[in-house]
Amino acid sequence: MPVNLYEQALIHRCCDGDRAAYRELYEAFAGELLAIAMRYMKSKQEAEDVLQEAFIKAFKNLASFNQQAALKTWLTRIVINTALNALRKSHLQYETDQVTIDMAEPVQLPLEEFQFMELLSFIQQLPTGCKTIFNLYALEGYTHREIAALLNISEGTSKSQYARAKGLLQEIIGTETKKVKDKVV
Amino acid sequence: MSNSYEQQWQQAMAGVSIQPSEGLWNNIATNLDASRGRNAWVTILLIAATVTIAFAFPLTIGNSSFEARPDAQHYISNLEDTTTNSREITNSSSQPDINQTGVNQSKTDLISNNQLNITPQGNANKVVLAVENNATAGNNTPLTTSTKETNSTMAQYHRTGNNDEIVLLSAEVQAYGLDYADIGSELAPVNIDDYYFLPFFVPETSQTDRELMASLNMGTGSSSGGSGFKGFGLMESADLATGSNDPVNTITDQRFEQTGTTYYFGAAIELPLGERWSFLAGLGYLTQQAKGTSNLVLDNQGTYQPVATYDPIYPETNYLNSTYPYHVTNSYINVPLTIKYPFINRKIKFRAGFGISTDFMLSHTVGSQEYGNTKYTLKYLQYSPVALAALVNMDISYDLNNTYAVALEAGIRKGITAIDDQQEYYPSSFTIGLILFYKIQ
Repeated sequence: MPVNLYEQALIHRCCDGDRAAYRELYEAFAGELLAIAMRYMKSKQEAEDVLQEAFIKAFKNLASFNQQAALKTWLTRIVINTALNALRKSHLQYETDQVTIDMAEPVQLPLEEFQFMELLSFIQQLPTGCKTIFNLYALEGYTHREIAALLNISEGTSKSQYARAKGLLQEIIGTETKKVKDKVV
Repeated sequence: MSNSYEQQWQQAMAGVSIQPSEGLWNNIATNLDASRGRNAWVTILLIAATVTIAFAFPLTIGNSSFEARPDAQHYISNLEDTTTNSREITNSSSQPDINQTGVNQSKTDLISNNQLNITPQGNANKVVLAVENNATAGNNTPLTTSTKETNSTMAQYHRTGNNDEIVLLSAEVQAYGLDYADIGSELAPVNIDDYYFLPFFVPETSQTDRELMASLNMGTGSSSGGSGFKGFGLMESADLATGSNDPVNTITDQRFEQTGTTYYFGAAIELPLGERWSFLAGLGYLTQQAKGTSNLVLDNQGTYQPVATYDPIYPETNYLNSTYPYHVTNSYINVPLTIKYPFINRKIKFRAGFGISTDFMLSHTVGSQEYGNTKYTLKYLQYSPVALAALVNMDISYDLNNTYAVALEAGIRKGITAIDDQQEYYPSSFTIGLILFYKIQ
């Protein structure tokens, strides 16, 4: 989806050095982008560090932004890549253990029973490696081949880590669901 | 790829917003202001330095030329018309006091009145002239003091009580018309009466040494970057598709740059500074080429390209591990300013020099055999168009005759001001070149 007229005008003003336009762009997207960054990082502080770096990169490179895509898509991509770089700097290792890949029919998850922040906390409980792969595959829509190229791991590792993430989330959600039901009872 | 499991998660997490901390925007704004301010200051300083040098350079030529050789050629040509080998010193008219009227005026008067009968001999580089002066005879005030002419004469005149004394400061000095002046003495006191001592330069044996020179130069060599993304970081990441300033690229370790090639040519003016030092100012063209490999990208159209040549960047671009060769060419106009000092200063000279060069980047082109070239503008790259480089060089020159000399020069060039916020520099170069010198005067 190409940028709309409002975004075009905003980008144009930013490229002209309009300080207010920078702030406007920040206000428009910072909340959603922070929510994305938090999926990858352990804490809000770390996520805000990523968001800060991502916005600085975006502002400096706004003139080169290709407007065939939506501004939000571009910014999201920057946030994700900045988060991945931050994780890479922390010497993130992706375990290569082979986990049986669950090819069963999709499970109907009771996600609607939880608030966003609760779901976020479930994801954040995952080990960093499989959390990253879960985010990229399930939420960002990458293929395992793309994830393998992006993270410099094998496709098999990506698949096994994703299966592991699913299993762990299933456990966490099951436990939390049971807690909710127990409270109701 | 997607199934209901992933879709459930996507729906549950979509469109959610978390309020950032109050101070986050301030941090971002401060960072942006700092980088913008730093860039602006560097640019302003570079422009100011260039303008200052550009305006000061013609003035320097004029002053240096006048100070070093006060109408010497004119003086010599007149002297050649005088009586050969005469040691007579005429005193037909009173002489102006050179302490009062200035050297040039007194010399002109002396010549026009045929009061000097002197012929330089041999290969003497410098001659001290002595002129009898009736007008001030008996005046115990020294007619010439070392303070007036020390910098341009090889001898000094002193009056001690009623005795005059000439101190020859160098064996190269030849004195004419002086009683008992002993050429070659380190110290040769003589009894004379009231002489003027005027500095007089004959042409140097070596025409390339102390003259205003013009030169043409050309050469070639290697280019290489520093560690990390310094130096050749420019070569491989000046396109926004690579490098640490690229917000999209995530695989930064898939590139490898090789040592490249540098070519240059230019012209320079060389001015003497004192007895041995020289100052060179030039204008040149420099190009640096390098080869490298970068990872391939797969864009949202399903097209593969080396990331180095990929532009523009689409948001859905994927960066792959496979690599592909590419080449980079940078070209610059440069203004080098160099100081040189001769360690061997004979017919064959050996000199060492150092200086700075103001480089103006003309173009940055990245290409590959299969995908063609992409020429990037500096504005697009957000690079400063001006940067400074440090220069260190050595040359060995040989005087072909009194007008021309040739030299072999080896030099190192290294960027000292970054061209972007990522602290990237122009690549360093090691070059070997030829110089042709021409004596202007």
